[in-house]
Amino acid sequence: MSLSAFGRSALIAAFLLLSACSKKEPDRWTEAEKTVATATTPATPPAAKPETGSFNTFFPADGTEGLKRVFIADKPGYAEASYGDDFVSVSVTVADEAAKKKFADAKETIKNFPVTTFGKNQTIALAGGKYQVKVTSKRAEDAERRKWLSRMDLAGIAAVPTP
Amino acid sequence: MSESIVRLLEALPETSLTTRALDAVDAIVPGTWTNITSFRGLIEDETGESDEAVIQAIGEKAIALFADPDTGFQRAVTLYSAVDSGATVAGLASLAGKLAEDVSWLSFLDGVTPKPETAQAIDAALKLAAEVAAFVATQGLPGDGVGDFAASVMHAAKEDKIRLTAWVLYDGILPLGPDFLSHAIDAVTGGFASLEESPLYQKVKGFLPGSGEEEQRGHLLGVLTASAPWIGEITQRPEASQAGIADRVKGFLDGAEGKLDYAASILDLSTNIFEHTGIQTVARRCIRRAYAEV
Repeated sequence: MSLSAFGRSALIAAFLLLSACSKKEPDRWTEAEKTVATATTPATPPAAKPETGSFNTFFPADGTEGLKRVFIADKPGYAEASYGDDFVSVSVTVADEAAKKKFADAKETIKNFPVTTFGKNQTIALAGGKYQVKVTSKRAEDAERRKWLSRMDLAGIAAVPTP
Repeated sequence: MSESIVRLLEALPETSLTTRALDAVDAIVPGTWTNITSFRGLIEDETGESDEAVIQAIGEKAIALFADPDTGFQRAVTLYSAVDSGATVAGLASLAGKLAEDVSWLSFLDGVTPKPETAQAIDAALKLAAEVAAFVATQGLPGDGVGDFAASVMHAAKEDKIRLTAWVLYDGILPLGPDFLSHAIDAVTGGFASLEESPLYQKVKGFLPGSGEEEQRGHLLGVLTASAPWIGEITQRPEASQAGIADRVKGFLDGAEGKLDYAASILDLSTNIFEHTGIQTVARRCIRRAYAEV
């Protein structure tokens, strides 16, 4: 490697180190790591999780809006599908107490279920007071994400029993 | 596993022989791979969120999810690591086999060392099987299982793509040629005795779907067959010829010139592509699930 090439590489490396995206911040996560490592029993008992396959039928069909559906996760209490290569993704999870708090001030509803947002890329409904149904997209705005939420069979999800 | 996902990710090197080997893959089959080793950076890349409180909430949830053995994230990291240290053993066997062929006075070793092709082919098949097992550990069997795995590969995130492409180039085409898939299928179908002898199989068989050898062999063949279309897309690229790959390898592996036969074994011995990108994959999947749950 020539000296100038080395110099250029060093400059690029220095730039990358300075940019926030690549910065390592191990201290930032120490508290969370300690909490997890020292927790013998959770503060609140974990929510019971429905078995795998419980939510698949409630997702918008393959080809909705002309987009291909790929199921990408089906674990106890967690199912997710991606539409149009992550144009939007839809997930269903069991809401813990912390997650439910987001809906305390929710004023809007879809199909009578409370709706709120999280961050800038998620619109969420709470189905049956126990399942979070999230529509996530980096490209679709909130209004578009709401359309996808209304395409989910929220009543069907709300009726899924927890064991 | 006592290490947190943050420590595992942030301990990965920014530059190493492994990252140079992966950069070479990215040059042959461009997939815009970047080596993200910052936990915060990966959260932002995966979710598109930039608000620090939002990132903190997602990160803390991801740390808790990884620490819970029931989620399968730790199991997936174990698998990716096992594949690389196991590959080292197969690489050694392969290198010893090569030496036995080249040096006449070592020819007696021919009888005890697996033929390089067989060792490489079984190694390749098992690595792909471990990839499926790691996917199942973290994602379950969404939809119809193996068929959907092939779809998920096409949908896969950046680290999955670079790892599987590296697998095709370095574990497949380089040692075995463009029709390596048929070698792997032959090795699994015809050579189950040697599959049992494989240290890598001994390591990963407890993680593979199916109970017993017959079921696991059937599953292995299913995965190989289902992967034929996306493997074909890579092998058909002109840059992905044995000579093309060897040319790139020369750029970062001193002394590989004129020793194409050895290049795959040397790469196998000196890099940990599955472990490196596997930890990035697991961290990304963990973050994605945390984003869904938080």
